[in-house]
Amino acid sequence: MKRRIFLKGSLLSGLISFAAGSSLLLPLKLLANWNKEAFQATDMKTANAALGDTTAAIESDRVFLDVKDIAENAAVVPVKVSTDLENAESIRIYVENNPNPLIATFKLSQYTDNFVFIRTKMRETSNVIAMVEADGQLYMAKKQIKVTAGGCGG
Amino acid sequence: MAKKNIKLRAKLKNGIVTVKAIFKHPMETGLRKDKVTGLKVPAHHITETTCHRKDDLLLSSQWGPGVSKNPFISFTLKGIDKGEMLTIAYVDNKGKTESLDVKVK
Repeated sequence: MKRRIFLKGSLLSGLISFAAGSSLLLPLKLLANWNKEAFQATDMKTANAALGDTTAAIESDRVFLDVKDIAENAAVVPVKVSTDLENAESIRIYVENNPNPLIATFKLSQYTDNFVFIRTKMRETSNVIAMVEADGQLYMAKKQIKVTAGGCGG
Repeated sequence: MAKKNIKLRAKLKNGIVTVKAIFKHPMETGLRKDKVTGLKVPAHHITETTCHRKDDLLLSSQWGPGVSKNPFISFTLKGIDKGEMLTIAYVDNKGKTESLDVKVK
């Protein structure tokens, strides 16, 4: 008899912990798989190709890239990207000379207001590139950011 | 419950919600060498983050190792009311996940 009760009890508690676990995981269910190929690519072309793009990005003044000209601390470079393009679907941030140029991709929805802010690492003086995908076309903005090694300002 | 590694704020102003989040995470690129042993420190970084309102996916992002240590991210949302719950979640390359809810102020 005791064994029965024990069995029932353990089954029930198992169910409860399973339910708790699954509800905790719920918000992550919609996560797509991380695009390893794109993020581990060592140049921008490969990264873009891995993200499924064949057409080249057009430079556009409707993509706004806000970064300071000189990065005093290369480990923390604040990057702001915004756009007034309608139907913007995604935003990508690249640091051209980094070992892995692709920093981040943001998938937008009808609720987002076309603005993202993130802090990136930079290995050396490089172009920071923001790309916005809208209506199947890539638009970009580019800016060269100087990294002052050793903190001597230069 | 263990202390959360996420800090999250969401503030409504002029119809636009500004969300700010900081994740406490080492963000190792896998390229840095340990000064004592001379061995490469294995990669350990956040790969994906999402922002949800209940079942609606508001923003999802994928990150490479080039995002700074203890990443800070900010973005804006529209069509969200005061008092609604937003959920931010992340997953790193070791499979660790965490999420946090916040009420829009």
